[in-house]
Amino acid sequence: MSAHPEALGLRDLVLGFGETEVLKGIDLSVSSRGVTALIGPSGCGKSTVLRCFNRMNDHLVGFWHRGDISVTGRDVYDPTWSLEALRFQVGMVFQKPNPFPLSIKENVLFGPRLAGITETATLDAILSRSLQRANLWDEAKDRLDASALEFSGGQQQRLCIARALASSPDILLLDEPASALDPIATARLEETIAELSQDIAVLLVTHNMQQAARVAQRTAFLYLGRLVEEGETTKLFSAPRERLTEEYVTGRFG
Amino acid sequence: MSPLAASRLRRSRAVDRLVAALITVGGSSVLLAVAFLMVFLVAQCLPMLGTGSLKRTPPASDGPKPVAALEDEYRSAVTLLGEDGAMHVVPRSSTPRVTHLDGVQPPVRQGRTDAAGTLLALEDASGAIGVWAFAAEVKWHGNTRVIEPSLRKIATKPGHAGAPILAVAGDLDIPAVLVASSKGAMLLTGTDDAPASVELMLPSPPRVGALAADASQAWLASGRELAWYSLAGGQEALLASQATEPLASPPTAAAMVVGDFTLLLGDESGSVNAWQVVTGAVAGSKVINLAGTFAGNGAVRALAASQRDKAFLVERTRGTSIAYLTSRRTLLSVPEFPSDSTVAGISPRRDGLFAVTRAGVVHRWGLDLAYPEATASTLFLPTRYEGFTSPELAWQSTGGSESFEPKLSLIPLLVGTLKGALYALLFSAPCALAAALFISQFAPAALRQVAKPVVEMMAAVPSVVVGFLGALFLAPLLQRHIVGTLALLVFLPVVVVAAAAVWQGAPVMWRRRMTPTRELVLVSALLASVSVGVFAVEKGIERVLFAGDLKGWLLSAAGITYDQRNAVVVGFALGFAVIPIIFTLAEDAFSNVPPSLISASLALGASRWQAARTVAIPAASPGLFAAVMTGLGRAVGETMIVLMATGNTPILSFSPFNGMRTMSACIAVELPEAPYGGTLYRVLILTALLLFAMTFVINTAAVMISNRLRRRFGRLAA
Repeated sequence: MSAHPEALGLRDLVLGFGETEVLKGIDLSVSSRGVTALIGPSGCGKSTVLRCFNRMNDHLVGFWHRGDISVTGRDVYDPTWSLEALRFQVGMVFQKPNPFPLSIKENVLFGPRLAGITETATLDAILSRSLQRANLWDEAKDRLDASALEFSGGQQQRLCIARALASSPDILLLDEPASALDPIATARLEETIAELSQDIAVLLVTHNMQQAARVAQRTAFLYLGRLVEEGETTKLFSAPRERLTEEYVTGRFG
Repeated sequence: MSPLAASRLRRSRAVDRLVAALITVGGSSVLLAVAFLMVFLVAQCLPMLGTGSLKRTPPASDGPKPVAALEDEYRSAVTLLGEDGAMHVVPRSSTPRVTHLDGVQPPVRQGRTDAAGTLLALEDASGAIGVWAFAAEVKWHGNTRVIEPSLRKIATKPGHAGAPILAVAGDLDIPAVLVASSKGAMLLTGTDDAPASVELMLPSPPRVGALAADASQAWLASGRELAWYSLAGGQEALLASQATEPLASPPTAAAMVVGDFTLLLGDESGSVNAWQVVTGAVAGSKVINLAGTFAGNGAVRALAASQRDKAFLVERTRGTSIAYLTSRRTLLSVPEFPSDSTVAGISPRRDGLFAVTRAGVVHRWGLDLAYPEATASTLFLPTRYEGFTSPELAWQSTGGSESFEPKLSLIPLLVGTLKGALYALLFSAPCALAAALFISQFAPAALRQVAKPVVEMMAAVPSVVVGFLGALFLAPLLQRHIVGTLALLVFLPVVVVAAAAVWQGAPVMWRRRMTPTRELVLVSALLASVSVGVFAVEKGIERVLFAGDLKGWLLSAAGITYDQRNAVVVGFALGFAVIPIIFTLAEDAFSNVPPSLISASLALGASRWQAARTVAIPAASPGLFAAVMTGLGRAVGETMIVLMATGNTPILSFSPFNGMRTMSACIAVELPEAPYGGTLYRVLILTALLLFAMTFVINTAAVMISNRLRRRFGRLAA
């Protein structure tokens, strides 16, 4: 359906930790524009799928995998592709806001500074552009040197998005970003996600099916480590192909 | 509620109350114990603040016109020599007794006693000088002790027709009398059968003079100058002074301080100057040096020194006071001192004063000087002790002789304590912090499980074992391999940093192969080979840099001596005891860094080292600081290791190759030997209090900082 190339891809991915097999053969393709939502009951492996793409699973004890994981068509385990370079390309925002106990400015510039950018003009440009893209510029521009911890939860989460955007990633991974936020903050966050998805690929893990329906063009339903169904959000919610999907989206379990 | 549930509730409430009470009792008794310790230490130190006291006893009277006075060491009676040639014993509680001295022709013209209070030289109407020995015999009449003072004639010297007797000294067999003469003064020695004399030459007639207790030195002072004579040499008939010094004001009284180092000279201006003979610039020469001045109002009339310590009585026309040489302080003024006193003195045990007036009235005071040698200035500031040429910070609490002047500066101990702790931290803090960082952020999970308990087990090694190994194994080993050890301390960090830099430039393919376990093996092999390599070329380094002998080189190039038990040994041994403390607390601090922050930085493309440097270390830094502070507190308070491995020399030196004495070791060594309630005892208790205060402050600061850490990062960790 998509005119855009593939941003994220999984080919027959089997993955686990120690004895436990968490993902049992998943094929998935995410286009380089728009929002794709990953839904499914707790423990079905949504976050694990998400963390494949920036290799955050590698830090967990006993991690192993079979099958291919690709980002922009390139294997994430390509030995010539360093972990750091991969993560500059794939940004991630976590479930709970986790700004560093630094100023707002230093939070946003954390990634660029790691990349070795030192010119003030470049950094200032990155700072304002990232905050604007995260819809935080108006709130933050007068207090760039204030501690990030003074922000509210919603603002902190948008700051985390701005921080992820500062490295100009092609892909943004969002792991239930609104789970700790109130409805108004959630609405603003969703607005931000929608705007961002015009330029980059967004993979959104969510518990909230209404949220998926509101922001995602495509939705994938995961159940017990398998991809049950993937397709356009409207179709998946209104006319699912699988019975399991229908039962989940109508709230019969989950 | 069912009866069963109600009874369960009652029981669990009773248990709750019991446990709460137990915890309260336990907690408050800990606080009480600490508070008691503090109160005890302070209470034991407080008497040092006192300046002493004088208690006047009622005066007694007998026999007019006393010439000299002596007191026995029990202070039972003051024995006066009257102009009438009789011995007047004036007891404290009963009536005076008079005994005529055989062969003394009244009137007695003059009399003088020695510094030790055992000799009396007197010139009677015959013009001869008789030397009498004073003794106080203790007799028991049933249960009552009776002290019977007596005077026994031991020598007769030819008189010099009223020339003043300046001093008397020496022992009972060969007493020495110093008498003014036309050329200066005549020292009359020898026995009655074989008399000897030496003429001490002085350009102007002497006003006052003094003799050392063994008559080996003499001092003479005229109106213009002070001269010193050493009498230890041969038996010349004429002896010139070995050192002279002009005087600003005419002298009026002289007295030797016990120990014979210092002459006290009082003058008409009211000053009492302390003079000492020191080695001059020219080899073998002697110079008279001013060691202290005690100013006061009114000309000095008389001086009397204590036979026990460096206290002395200064009688001035406008008031009489007691001063102390070591602290250069006037301690107290004597109230109601008779203005017409002719003879005054300090009791032999320095527990009383007496003064006798022209009319024969004996005034007595009980004397308590508290702790005159321990003042804020002697404890903490440079002090010029006898035998020193400049003020110094020295600790030497006991000496071989009774006249020893205790040197009680706490600064060498304080510096020793901080030096030991500092060298220990210099070694242990980088090791422990790096180990904690590695274990918490980099190590393979399996190693993490093992390493922490193992390092914590180091704390279970008894410190006496660590001290023993440090002193008897490590110290000689280090002495042989000091160059290699120092080189290793330089090379190890350099090699690690260099290896890291090289690794950064290694191809991505290689770096991808690395697992935490392989990393560990590789780094261990690197460190081991560097260590072996450095010790292999140790001799070569010593030859090239230090002419083949580091210790000789240090001595000739920088004047630094090498002690076998030195700060480097202490650094390692004490560091071994401190590492587990810093490691455990630092590891906890790293574990308290919210994992979400580490994940955030990793997800932003940080390498593990970048994540540690930019997030883990800053976030843990208050906890790391608290860990180091707690380690410092332990190092400061540690006793056994420093007792065994420092050499215990209380020297003031920051050199890593010298030993030290720490406060804790000093207390451990000296407190068992210190007489209860004495000055040394009080000073050691003060040392303990200071040590307590130091560790208390350090540990409190550590706790406060770690609390701040918890407040600062608690919000994120929640």
